[in-house]
Amino acid sequence: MTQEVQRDQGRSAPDSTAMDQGMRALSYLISGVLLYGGLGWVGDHFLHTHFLVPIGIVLGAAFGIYTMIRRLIATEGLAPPADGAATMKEGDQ
Amino acid sequence: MSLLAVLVPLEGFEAPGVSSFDLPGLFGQSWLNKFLLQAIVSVILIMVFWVVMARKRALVPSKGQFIGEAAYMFVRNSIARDTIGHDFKRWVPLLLALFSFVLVNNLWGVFPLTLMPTAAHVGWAYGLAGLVWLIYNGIGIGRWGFFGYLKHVTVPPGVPLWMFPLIIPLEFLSNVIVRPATLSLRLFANMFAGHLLVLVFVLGGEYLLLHTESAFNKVAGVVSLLFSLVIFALEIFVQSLQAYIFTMLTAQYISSAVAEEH
Repeated sequence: MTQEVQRDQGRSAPDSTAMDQGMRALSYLISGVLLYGGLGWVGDHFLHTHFLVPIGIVLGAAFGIYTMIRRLIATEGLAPPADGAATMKEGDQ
Repeated sequence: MSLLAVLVPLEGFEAPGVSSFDLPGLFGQSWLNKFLLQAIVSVILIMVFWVVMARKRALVPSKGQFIGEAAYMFVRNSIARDTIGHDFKRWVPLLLALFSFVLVNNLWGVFPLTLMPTAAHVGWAYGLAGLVWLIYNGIGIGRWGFFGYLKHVTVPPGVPLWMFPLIIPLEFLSNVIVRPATLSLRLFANMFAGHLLVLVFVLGGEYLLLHTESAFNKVAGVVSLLFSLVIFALEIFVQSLQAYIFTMLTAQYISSAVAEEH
């Protein structure tokens, strides 16, 4: 019963949001690798080189991780650990 | 001899594979296959179920009504309300329909007369995810306008301005293409792999038991058949879980299409 009340107050349950965040992180990683790896492949194809695909894949993964970190900081109120103690999710209103 | 039969690959056994999912048309119609038939039957069953549930409601619920109400409240509270939050009631019918459809069609995989989850054919998973794609993008465009929604799905929160040219295509690809694609592939892959696993144990066990000579193979066949029952139990769990995840992520996509982000 108390759990019901708590759920009513929270905007969203932590488990479903956490699952979406996990899926979103995966999606960013796949997108980054696909996009920049693909760009690298196009570059290799036209420049007749062979080193752009791996660079693109690694850069794409890095951009994907970067975007996910930024999104978490912006939407969840998560600060990076270097910023001090404010790593807890801040109360909504 | 018996040792040889164990060590030498079994001849004449056709391992189940992708071709096990190419089912012939039924009743002489090439377009009417098992998957379509299951989907049609599932829609009829679901409609009858919910109409009966809605008709026969009493203050003191019977067992049947209890099951219906529990299922409804699960989707309403655990999926719709917890994920979408404010104004979730508009989406409950859609989510309930999706959940019922995916769940029943997944459970065809363990139902003795069908034994094939509908989404094990990738077309059904693509179709479902395509429907979800249309719905959540439509909702987003309706909420923000076309260009407003484009901005909503391409401009990532918290990224500095100079990174935009690098991140915007990534964000677009992630939100508009990869997320719905993973939605369909997750459902398809789980159903496909689960059914294939069952096929391997059942067909392999049957072959070992009935079509080979050595006693060791017969014992292995029995063990394999028994183990397939364990796999069936696992499949019931996976099928229910995937129906839940599919619906939950749909709710999440709807939620992120309308949500304010700063």
